[in-house]
Amino acid sequence: MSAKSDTIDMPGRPARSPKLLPNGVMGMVIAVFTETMLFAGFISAHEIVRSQSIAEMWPPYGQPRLPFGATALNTGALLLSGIVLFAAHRLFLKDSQRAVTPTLIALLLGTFFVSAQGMEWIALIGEGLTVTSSTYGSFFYVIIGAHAIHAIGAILALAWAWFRLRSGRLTSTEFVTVQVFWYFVVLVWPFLYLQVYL
Amino acid sequence: MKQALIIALITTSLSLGLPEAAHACPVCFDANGEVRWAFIVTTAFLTFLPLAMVGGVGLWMRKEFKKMKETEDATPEVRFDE
Repeated sequence: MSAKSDTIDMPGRPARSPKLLPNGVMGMVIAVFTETMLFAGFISAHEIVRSQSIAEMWPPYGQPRLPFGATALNTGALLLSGIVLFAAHRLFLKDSQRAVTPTLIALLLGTFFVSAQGMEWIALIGEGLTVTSSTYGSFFYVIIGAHAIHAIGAILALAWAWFRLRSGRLTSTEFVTVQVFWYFVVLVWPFLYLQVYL
Repeated sequence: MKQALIIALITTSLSLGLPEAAHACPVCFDANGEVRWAFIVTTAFLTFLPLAMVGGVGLWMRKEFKKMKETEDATPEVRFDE
């Protein structure tokens, strides 16, 4: 058998199936799914421990109440950052440079949220709520701390995107990937806020 | 083959013989109705949330593929005569 008879004649390239989502966005969506389950586990554990509290006393005796009202302001800032970033995306589709300012505003709102949370933590530690003071404190720092770590990651990602956007090097895929993570941080917060602070 | 069979037998014997009986947590369900309710709700939550997320993406992808197919079908095919 000659070598020539072994070759298969393939005119053109094989047809590729159409791609709905860019790889970066798809990867981020999968990551967000896993992170959603992490927070769902936290919320479930918190709900069970809370329901087991003695004589329905939550927070436990001697532990400070969480500042529900003051944190509402942070919550508003974070939700607003999500809306502003969505507006930035709409502007990006028309002219990428028009998205620079709203992206910066979203970034600043996110930074305000994390800074205010940090100040709140300092005040709560001063009042005696620590990670070892009670299950109430443990849950608070683990759940809210996990969210804060995600928020810091999202801020760093958005800052990176903003620098690239400003210099005109940010691609649409990169921007959407960062946005998916940001929207996750924004949308998971109200659930944590109502679960932990109420 | 013989060695694999011996290993399988030893492993099976150990896994059957070593573990002790695991009893359910005695305080989980006897406290009050609220605890029982919390267990039921969180079990349902953790069961259906991933299904809803994956199902949601699946439905969205199906819709988008359908839309893509319709666009492709509507585009007139270009033929080059020899």
